Amino acid sequence: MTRQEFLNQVLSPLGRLTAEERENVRRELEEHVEDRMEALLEMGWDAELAEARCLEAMGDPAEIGREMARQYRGRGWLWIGRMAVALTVVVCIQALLGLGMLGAAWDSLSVRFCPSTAISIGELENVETVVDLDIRAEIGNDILRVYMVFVGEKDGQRAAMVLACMYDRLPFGIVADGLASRSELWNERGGTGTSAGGSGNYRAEYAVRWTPVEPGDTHVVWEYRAIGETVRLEIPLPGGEETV
Amino acid sequence: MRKQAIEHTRLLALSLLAAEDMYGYQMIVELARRSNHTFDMKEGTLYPVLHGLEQEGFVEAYRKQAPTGRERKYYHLTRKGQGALREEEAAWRRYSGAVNDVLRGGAEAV
Repeated sequence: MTRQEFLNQVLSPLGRLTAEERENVRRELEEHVEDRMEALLEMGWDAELAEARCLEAMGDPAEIGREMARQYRGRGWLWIGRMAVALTVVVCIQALLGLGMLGAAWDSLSVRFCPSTAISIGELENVETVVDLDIRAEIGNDILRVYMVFVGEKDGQRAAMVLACMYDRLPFGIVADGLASRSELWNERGGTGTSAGGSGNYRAEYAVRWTPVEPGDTHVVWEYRAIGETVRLEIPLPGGEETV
Repeated sequence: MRKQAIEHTRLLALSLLAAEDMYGYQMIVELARRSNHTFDMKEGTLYPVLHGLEQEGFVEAYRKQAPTGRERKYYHLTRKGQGALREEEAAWRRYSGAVNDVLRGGAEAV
């Protein structure tokens, strides 16, 4: 048996150890053989005989491996315990997300500080200008906020596209639903486009609407029809002032 | 029988480490020297014992340069290990004392 074969036999039952632990075991035993070899060589032993003598003095590699594995056996339960804790945490987070609690809490905060701009404006082409806005209206306990306007081309005609969001006055409060379906965007001539989309949950509502505009138009109007009241927000168009 | 051999290797290992930090080969050499080669243990079987003591927190391992100039894995007896040593030593003394008493009784009877 060579030194390598001996070490491999010791390590073979140690599959449960980490690679680092196995390497430590190998290194330690190898160092022991090295020290023992050196002592024998100093005494004038032949190298080959010395190695055979060393390995014999070490004992049965299979038994050393088995005993070594036994020392680490208790850790199986340790890992199972740790995994159970990790799994519980993951399940709890999943459950909260599933109930919409964490996600909605985040939506509730983000909508008031950095409303999403990831809303699709894919159908608007040749965008001329984009302007950030902050036009707000209070509607009951909710706040409607128009936060962005784009001017570009939709279906071959010049159009303005407006992004709005709505949220409860209090963080984590519940907002009225249906911002997209209750809203309409009018141009100066009383024309309107179709809804470009909307999304929302009960913490944050988003809506995108567009309407055709002509060069020289100075504003468009966002109309929101709540139960019992209608709110109109006038939105200045970028570049509109110059042509006035 | 084997279990007992392991148990007393544990006691001997703890006892050696009570004096100073040592690495495995050094412990084997020291054991042979002190016991006048009475303990003819297979040298490799010391390591499972040391790793077991480490898992139990009785010893801590660290790497350091040995007097030979090579780096070796040294074992250090922890406070918890000192407690374990005292207990196992007391148990061993009770055991060997009892064996001696029986042997003395046998000798007197002859």
